[in-house]
Amino acid sequence: MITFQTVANPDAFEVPIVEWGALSPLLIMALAPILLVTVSSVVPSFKKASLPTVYTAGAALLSAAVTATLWSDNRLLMDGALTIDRFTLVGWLIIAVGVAAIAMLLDNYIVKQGYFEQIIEWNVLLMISAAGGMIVVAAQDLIVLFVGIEVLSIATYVLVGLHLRKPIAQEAAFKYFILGAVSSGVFAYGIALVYGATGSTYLSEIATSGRNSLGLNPVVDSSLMLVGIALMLGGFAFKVGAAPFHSWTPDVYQGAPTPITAYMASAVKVAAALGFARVMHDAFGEFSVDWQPLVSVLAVLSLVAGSFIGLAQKNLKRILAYSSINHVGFILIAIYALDEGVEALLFYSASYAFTVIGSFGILMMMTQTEPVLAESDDEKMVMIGANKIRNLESADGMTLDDLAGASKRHPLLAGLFAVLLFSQAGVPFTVGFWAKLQAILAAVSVEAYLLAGFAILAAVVAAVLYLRIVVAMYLKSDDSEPARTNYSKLSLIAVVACVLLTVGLGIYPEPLSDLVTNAGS
Amino acid sequence: MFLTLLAISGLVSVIAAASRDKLGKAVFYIAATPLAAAAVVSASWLPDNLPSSQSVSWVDNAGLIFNFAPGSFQAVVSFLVAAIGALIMVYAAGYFGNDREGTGRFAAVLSLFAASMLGLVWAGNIWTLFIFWELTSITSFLLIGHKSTKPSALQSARRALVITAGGGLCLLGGLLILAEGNASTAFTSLSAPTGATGTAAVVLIITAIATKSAQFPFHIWLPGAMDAPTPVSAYLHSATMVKAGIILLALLTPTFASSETWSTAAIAIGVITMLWGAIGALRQFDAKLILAWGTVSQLGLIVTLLGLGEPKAVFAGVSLFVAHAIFKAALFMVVGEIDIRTKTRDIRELSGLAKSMPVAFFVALVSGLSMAGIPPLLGFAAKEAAVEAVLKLEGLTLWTTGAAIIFGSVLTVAYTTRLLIGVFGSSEGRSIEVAKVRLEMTAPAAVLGTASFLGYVFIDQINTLVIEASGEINSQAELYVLYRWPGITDAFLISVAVVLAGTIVGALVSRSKVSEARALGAELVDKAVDGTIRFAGKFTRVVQHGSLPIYVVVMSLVAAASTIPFWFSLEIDGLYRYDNNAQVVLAIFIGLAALVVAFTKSRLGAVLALGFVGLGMAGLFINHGAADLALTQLLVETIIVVGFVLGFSHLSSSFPPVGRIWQEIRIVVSVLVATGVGVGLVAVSSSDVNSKPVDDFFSQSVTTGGGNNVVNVILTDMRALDTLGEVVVLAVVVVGIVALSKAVKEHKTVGVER
Repeated sequence: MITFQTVANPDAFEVPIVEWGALSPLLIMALAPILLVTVSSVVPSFKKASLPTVYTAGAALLSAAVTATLWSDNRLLMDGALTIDRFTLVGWLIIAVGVAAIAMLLDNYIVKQGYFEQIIEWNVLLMISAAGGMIVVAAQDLIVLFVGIEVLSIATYVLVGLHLRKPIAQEAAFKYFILGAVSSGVFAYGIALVYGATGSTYLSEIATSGRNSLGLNPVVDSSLMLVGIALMLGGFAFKVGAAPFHSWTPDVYQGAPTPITAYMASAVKVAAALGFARVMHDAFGEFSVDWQPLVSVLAVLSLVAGSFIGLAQKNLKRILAYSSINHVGFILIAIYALDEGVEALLFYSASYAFTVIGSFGILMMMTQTEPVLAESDDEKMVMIGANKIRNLESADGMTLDDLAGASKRHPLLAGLFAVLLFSQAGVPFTVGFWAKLQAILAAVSVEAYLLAGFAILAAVVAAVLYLRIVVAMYLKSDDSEPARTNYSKLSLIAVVACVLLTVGLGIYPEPLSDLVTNAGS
Repeated sequence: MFLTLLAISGLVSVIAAASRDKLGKAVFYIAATPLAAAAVVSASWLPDNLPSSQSVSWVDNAGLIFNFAPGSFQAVVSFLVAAIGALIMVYAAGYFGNDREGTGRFAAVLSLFAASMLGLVWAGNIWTLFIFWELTSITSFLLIGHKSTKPSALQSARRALVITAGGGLCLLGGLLILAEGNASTAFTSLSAPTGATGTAAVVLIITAIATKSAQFPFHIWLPGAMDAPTPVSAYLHSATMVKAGIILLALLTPTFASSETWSTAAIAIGVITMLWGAIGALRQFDAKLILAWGTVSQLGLIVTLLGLGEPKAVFAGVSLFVAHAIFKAALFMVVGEIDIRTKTRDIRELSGLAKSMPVAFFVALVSGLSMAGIPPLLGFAAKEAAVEAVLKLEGLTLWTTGAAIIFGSVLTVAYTTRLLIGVFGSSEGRSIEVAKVRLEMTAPAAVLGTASFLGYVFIDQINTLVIEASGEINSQAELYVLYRWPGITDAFLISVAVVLAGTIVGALVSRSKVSEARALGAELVDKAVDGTIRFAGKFTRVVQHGSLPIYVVVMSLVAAASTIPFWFSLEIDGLYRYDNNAQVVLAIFIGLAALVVAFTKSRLGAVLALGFVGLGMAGLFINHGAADLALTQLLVETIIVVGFVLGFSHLSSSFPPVGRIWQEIRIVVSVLVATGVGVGLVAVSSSDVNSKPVDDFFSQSVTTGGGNNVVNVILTDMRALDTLGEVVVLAVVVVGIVALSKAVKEHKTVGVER
């Protein structure tokens, strides 16, 4: 099969142009962890106090800053494999800033849970995973997208399981890994079918070989394409945690170390959602009549599952997990609305990301100061295992009942938490209100009234979900005294920044709104 | 100016929250300041010195503009909200007294509420109103639940939230319809949509109004809301928040002036509410609940009058709106003071307070008489206007709505009598112990009590205000006047009869054994909410069982099912089958190996059989002449088998036994998935398109990649980015292994028993 030729004229070989400038945010995120591994193994003193955290947060913020300098760019990179446009850049910004915040939360976590030995690995995995997420957002090619998803996910599987003293973390990691592998398989098979139908993995080429220009056997090829789209949709639905592919979310979110839960709920989810939107929009735009009904079903199921079913939960991380499913419903509505929804999608993703990071961050700080009252055998085992570290974080986490009197034990955290919960509930003057309103308006503008109706209904039910937490903190009386507060300063800064953004952009959303304008490609 | 005032209120709220009870009751005086300022500013707008509107472009691309443009009606309401708010803050200082617990939070939420209410009143377009509308619901929820020692408080708060938030969603729906049909969302330039969407908009908005203003059948949250501290009841649940629905009704009346549905719905709801509320008030023993049910009834009356839309009725409605805000707040304040000083609000226990609490008695008497519509008080003038309006009605409306209003007035007088006799009358010469006076509670009540009287004295000024305000709702309403003394007119004679009949009824039931009203609707709502939560719990136990195999089965099933519609669209004749017989042999070999994997009981056997599947794949590659690919496949298969074998050393040698049903489920799912995958593969291999890109790789291998081995060029050049990604994946795995092994090491040193 392979015929051997000699290269005709080696001198004429053209060195391909690599646009290092435009790639640099991604490169920073991908190379920083490698540098961190190298430096920390050569210079052991680097692993001191918060230095690795500062390094990670700094690298991530640098990546974000470089992203910001590219603002007006709009071009294809790497032979059309990646694209730099406003959509990509907003996604990169969300991921990079998110990683910085997560690293700052980890600062508190790793020490408190007694994993300081592995602080380098936690941070390295976090950054590599984020680099994968940045590829997903920018990918213009299905194989590149797949690789990005794998990088993003595999690092996350490990991160979920890194808390070895916590049995449910192990279970969560295993579940996430197996289900993630299944969904990756489904997704890859979808890619294969689409490739089979169109002969290309580039989004733009898939788009131009649309419905009528398919191969010689339109029946077979069109079906191939549709099955491929359906399977890829399933894969994406799993990654973003949309119902009915959501069943892993509560289990994994509860089990994972809380900062990692925050990471999964924010950067991972946003990366997957933006990649999802990009593929549906750029490659399968011509087939929107076929996939829009599927997306709307996913949206409605997510809205319902995330709100109604969430009402039954007692564990706070599970409640927030269901709430994240509910948020996915809104994100899917924005994806459904195609061009009309691009701005809503980005606005929602951005505002959602820092709200959710702040929420889990606060939950983490509270949980780590709550002692375990050994009641069940499981908890006892945890206590023996970590006799230095007796707090609920190493067990199954906090429940609504544990929150009673939290406003007195943690006056500051409770106040900040309340603000973030109000934002998630969509209360006016928080950024969450604008996000929800834009998603609903997007649905209305494409005349998806039923979808808008469901969104409104789910928003109200979900509001009950969040207000129950506020009630538990403030209105359930308890004679608690203020707790000894020794949170990491960095974690506190991250959380406060999230709250300030939530309120600031809630009162004056124009900056974020400007940021996402004209993002439609 | 609007934004500045709101920002100051917000700031005060933050300060109050941050002070964490340290300031004690002083925090309420801080909170009163911006409200007093707002009251002064609002007063400067009256009667027709309206401020120029203020617009802040908010979210440009969503077309959202923050607009404040109070008209005459809103200016009057604004003054009431701000002034009563300032008084309430002073009252709250007295209410909490030396008890610091929760003062900071209470003041913070209360001033946040006041600011939201002011924003709602000043709103110039529907979205501005909506935003503040929602905020008032949330703050109201937090305020009702404030008294956390009372177990029913949380239940009541939840009920109020469910109903008003549900109303909020109706409002959003209605406003979306309105916004769709209008270029501008300003209240002054709205036009009503027609046809079915128009009706939908009316139904949604009226429902929202009914939930907020406690109209039947949504009134059930209001009595429960009485669990809130009295300053909240006096402010939110009589004078301000419950009026939000009425404000919206008034603002949209010009828009829907020609809509039959609008006015019919408003009148029907209003009349039922008015009568049902009054009957409810007669059946209560808790003085605060009597007032709450009375509020429901009065709100019904105002809704009815505005719903009639006739100039005179609108005029009467606005007059009552003003009068009610003043006397009802005062009455609540008095009841709250009695509660604090005697530790009870039950009219069966209270006795002889007329002597022991003279100031409170006087205030209650004045306000109560104003409520009953007796001169020389503001309530009288307003009630006269209402009776006049009834007499203007004709035909059927007169004999239904009109008669109902008159009958409602009788009941109003009755429950007022019952309240006054019950609280202040002395039964069997008993007198109840009374704690010492709290000036901060008495003074604001006295101010409002006096206001009911002064309103009557300065009736001409009030008249100007009401004329301006109601002129905005119905331009012909300006033609009417409030009389200080109408003379012996038909309306006056009717009023006399009403008062006489009402007093008799009230005196009769004042101490008699009426059965206490059961809050049936409230129970229903609670049951519905609890039921939803229980159902969610059951549903979760079924769906969210935590079993990994079930998750996998569900996911595979959904994915496989999505291919089913296409199974039958394959054209069998044109399908690719095979190139040579070796392929057939290999395919059968692979299939058999796969079946062994599925059915063997031994773990090791399954792994080995899986290895044979890989081997067969490698054979297929060789058959196609791709030796390097086959080599790679073999390498990977070997590593996988070794990995599995190592991993299995920790597990038993055979799979655990499976139940029969579960076995059958797995077979079905496997067959479905296999068929789905198979159909896809057959379709792909029969398609002509897929040969093209490979041609490209061949032709470009040398020119762009400079290499003859196409696979190598693909890996290192054409798709180098993918290769890089795969390398990164490997790096991740390595780091993960390192991190986990380190953790395991540490784990052991801590000494967990396994």
